[in-house]
Amino acid sequence: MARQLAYVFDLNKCIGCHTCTMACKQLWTNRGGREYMYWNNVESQPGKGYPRNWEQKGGGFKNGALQTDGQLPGLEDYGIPWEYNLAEVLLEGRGDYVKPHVKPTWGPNWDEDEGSGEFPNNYYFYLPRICNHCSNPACLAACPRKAIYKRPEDGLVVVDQERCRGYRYCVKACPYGKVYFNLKTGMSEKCIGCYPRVEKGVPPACVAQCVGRVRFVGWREDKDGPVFKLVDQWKVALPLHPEYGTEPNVFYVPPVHTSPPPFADDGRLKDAPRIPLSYLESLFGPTVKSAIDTLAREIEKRRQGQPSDLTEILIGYTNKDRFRL
Amino acid sequence: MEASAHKDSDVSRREFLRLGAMTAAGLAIPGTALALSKLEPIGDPLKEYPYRGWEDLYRREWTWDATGLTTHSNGCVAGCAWRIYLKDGIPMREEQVAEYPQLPGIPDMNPRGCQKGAVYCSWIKQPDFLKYPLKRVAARGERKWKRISWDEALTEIADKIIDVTLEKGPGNIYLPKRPFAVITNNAYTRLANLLGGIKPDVSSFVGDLYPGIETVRVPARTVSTFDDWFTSDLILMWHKNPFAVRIPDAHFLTEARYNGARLVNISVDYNPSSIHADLFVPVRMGTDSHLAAAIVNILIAEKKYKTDYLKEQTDLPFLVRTDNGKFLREKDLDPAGNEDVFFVWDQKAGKAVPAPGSMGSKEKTLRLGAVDPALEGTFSVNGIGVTTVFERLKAETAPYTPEATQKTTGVHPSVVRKLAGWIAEAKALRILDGYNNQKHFDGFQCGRLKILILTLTGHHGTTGSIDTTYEGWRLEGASALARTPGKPGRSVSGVLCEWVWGNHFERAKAYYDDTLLRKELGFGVDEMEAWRKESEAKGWMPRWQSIKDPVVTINAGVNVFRHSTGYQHLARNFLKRCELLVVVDYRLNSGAMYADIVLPAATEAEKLDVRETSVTRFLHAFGQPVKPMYERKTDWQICVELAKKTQERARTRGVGKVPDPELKSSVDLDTIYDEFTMGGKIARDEDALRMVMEQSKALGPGTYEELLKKGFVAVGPEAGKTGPVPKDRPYRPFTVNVTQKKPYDTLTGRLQFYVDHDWFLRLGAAVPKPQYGGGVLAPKQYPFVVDSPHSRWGIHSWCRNEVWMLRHQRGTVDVCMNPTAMRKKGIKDGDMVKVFNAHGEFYAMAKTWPALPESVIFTEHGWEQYMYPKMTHYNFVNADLINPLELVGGYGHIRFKSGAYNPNRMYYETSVDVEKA
Repeated sequence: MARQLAYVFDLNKCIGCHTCTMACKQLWTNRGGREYMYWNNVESQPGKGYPRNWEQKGGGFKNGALQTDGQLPGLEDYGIPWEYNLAEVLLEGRGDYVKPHVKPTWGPNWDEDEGSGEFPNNYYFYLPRICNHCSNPACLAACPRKAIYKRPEDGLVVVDQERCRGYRYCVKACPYGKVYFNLKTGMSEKCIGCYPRVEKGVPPACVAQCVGRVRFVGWREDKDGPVFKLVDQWKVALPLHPEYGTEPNVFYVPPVHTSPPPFADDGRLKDAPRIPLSYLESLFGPTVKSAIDTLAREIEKRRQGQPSDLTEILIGYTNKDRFRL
Repeated sequence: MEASAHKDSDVSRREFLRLGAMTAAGLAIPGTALALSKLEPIGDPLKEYPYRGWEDLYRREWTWDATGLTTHSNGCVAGCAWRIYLKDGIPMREEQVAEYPQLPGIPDMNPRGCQKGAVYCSWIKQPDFLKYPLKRVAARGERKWKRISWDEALTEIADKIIDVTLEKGPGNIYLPKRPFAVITNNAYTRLANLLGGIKPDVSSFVGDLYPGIETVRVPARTVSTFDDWFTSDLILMWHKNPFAVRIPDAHFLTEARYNGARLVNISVDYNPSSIHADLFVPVRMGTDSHLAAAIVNILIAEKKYKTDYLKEQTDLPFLVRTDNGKFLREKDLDPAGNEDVFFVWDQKAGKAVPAPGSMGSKEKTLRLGAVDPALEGTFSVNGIGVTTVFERLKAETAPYTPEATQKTTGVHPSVVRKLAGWIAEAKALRILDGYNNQKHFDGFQCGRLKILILTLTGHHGTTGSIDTTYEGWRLEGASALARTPGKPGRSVSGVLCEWVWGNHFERAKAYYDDTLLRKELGFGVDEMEAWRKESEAKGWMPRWQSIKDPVVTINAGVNVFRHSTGYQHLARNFLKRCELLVVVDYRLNSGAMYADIVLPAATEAEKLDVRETSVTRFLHAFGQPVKPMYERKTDWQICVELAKKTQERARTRGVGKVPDPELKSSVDLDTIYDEFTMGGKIARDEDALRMVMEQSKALGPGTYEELLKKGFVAVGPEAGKTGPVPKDRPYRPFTVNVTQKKPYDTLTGRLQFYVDHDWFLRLGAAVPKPQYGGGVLAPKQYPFVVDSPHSRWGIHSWCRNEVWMLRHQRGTVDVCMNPTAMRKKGIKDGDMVKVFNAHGEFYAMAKTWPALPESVIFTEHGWEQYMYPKMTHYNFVNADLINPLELVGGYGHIRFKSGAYNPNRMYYETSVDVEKA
């Protein structure tokens, strides 16, 4: 049975704590050549993201055609996993202070909380990112070995760790920068959607361990699930960069961009969005406005003491409400 | 510049690719061989794929051979249950337990636990984690050690304890400890009590007290359980950044917002909580008391207060003499009258009548009966002119209109009025008040004003709460564990200890501009010192720091240097008085660099203990998933064994009871182990834990087993210090005062906003209002003030040097600056900068942060000294100040109390300059 695992990440709930990242890191990528990889990362936007400038790296599809001009990010663009001289300084009395083994110039969260604009009207928000487990994955299309496939039972996109030859066409092709090259094994690796967990009915680690309770997971086709309701029924959850043409299965509830209101020069509140709508459109496409309007309308209803099915879903009272596997 | 930057990254990219190619070539042969066995053609991998046997590779990685339970609430107030997965007995990874039950209509708290807990298993494998006892073999601070045995270490410490007690008398042993796990915490209290040791108030020297609010209610530091946030319709995040630092509970805020609540963030910076707010109020650093006064001003001027509530629950209708500013007391009217009986003006009877519920009143209720107290007016009682506290408050806050305060706070009056309007119409108001308020000099008065806002609108104890970080649940078993009858130990203010032993008076004198202080406050550093001595002479504040020395210091899980203003100054002076510095910790913190002996404590994966923080209704287990590895010992065992060795050495040396006349007590060195263990009854960790659980009313039999089985256990109703914990609703403090008319534990028995203590009157602080003109009190010649609040990347120093955490920051200590300020200083993002003033400097990497105003530099606290170039530190550039109001005692509920009332450390009266290093 072909099914598709799908996710909704609510950016109005994301607090940028990176617990998802560390959950993934400890389960999959703190060893064996994966250290520099963050299958799950959280980046401050607007920002350069991880890997650095991934939005400019190319890849994906244009008018249905796979783009072959994608770049391979350098190690520095991912961030060199710094090592420290703790033992030398603290136990052996050598060295002048504890420092990384190379001078840091970039890392996976280097521009944390920077965003854009000037105080007090600056803005930023957090964008958690995993492999989108796309319905039309560019990595899969680009692999000359056919070593990347979609698992029919859950739609998760995986790289065969026996067939892969390390050509890295997939790394170039993924417009989201979510396929990595393992220097130790010589193969490409990426987020596996925690399929060993999903097979047992356990949500992926980044979802189960998300303490901001940002993440909803379930089957794309399940009409009673939160993912279907948020994506198809309420239409408040949108794919990131739909123009890349890969048909992601991760959807985002965009940030309500009008609050808190910015200030005029004299210090009064200004009746204008703090985050420019055009910026959000550049991320989530032209339907973002209507998604935000729906959200704002339902939140306002709740403020007036009226019930709202949408806000009830987004509150996601228990794990059962947010996870349906 | 642009071109060369490009070139660098190209080089790195080429190298990355070259390395990649080499590695791939190395593996090409076995890979090809394997592929030859796979001959089936592959169709469309979008739809099907024939070779799926390899998938076991990842399946095998999600395996374990044992699990155990623990929490990471060590320095953190959150309390989260974690499951540790072990392979071959080694902790490999963790996942939140996430099995908390749901309360009706309230989102549950699954999962609880942040990124720092999630990486704990990696952190404890770092080389700074201790394995064996160490002894210093070079000068203090040189970080050269030899491994010694436990027996050698304990013998040396025990002998020194005996020597000092015999030669200098009891009270020259100093035991600062981290109070974050019940057994661990009480182990050191118990040891200190039996040794007659000095017990500093840790909250004081890290600036975590709420002395201003303590004048209003007792205890000041108390909270709803944080699930109660969901019930609010207006939440002010004020001096608190919960989205960054209360990670496990932040979802209650976003979910409250979806439930119709408005969130307001009042802050110097546009921080991670601001971005989730419906209103951001950018107040200038150190002027919050003026903003709070402006809100009070509006609420009073527009009569947006709840009259009936104020008449019953507060001292606002109490009568105050117009001649001397003192409360009208029964004694004023009758020489045989009670000093602590106060009056209200009964509008029905047209006369002054005693108010029930005060400390001196026989009526232990707030019930007013037929009396209708006047909130406003002036009256004459037996020829004494009186008015009400409310009148005084109204008059004294009258000048603080939003228009008048704008020049101080920088907040436009229309914004203040909008906020006050929201406050006035709120149905369930809540204020989240973090630890940053009182780290400003005017935090004392600001705290009183903030709780006044919640009280004027009638939300305190009814529909809302001012959540002052946390409190511990009431556990009689924990008190029993610490109790040593007849041996109270020596409690002191942490700030006063360091003020004396660190010569902070001297540093403050040199640091602050006395002319400026006198202009703003009406007094300078000399007066602070004189008042300190007066307070000690009067017995208001304990004086042990003035007559004793920290000759033997046992630092248990704290770092006495890192938290101090004037770090280097304290270290230098303190170490002169300290002959043996023992650091007990699970890792080499920067304070341990100066230690003579370092003892390895069990980590959170290895200890048996319980955490009692009250932000949830659950206690959490340190469930000892693995027994202590290497030569680590649990804190309880370290204390037990130190007591044992002391007793053994005392007996060998023929030493017995040492009289301690100052405490009318003795230090019984030859029986100290027997006393410590209650004759062996609580020698084991299990015994101590079982005693805590089973002797606490809110827990009881069976809870020990439940705790260790599930990782958490719910408290019963008796755990609440200011009211019962309901079964089916979140806990909210002080509700019984409203529902059952129970008097508060204040002098007046009310939420008390007037303090007629002589010092308060003299300093013009009888009512809550700004104590001075606002802003940072540091010398004006430096262009920047310093903000160093809590971080999302650590809990104080906990996890601050964790490598995965560092990789998510700048890899080294950073300091954030506004981009315009950086431009003006010629500083670029990533540059190493020197932050300095005449009294110190530190080095850090500059980070651009547009969320800051130009005048503020921001460096999150908790960094270890050894992370800084030249071993500097962010606490090298500040100095102590003492607010004399916090030295007051001998007045009803306003008296020295550890964890509640004594001078609080102020970090933010600091100014610096910055330059490229």
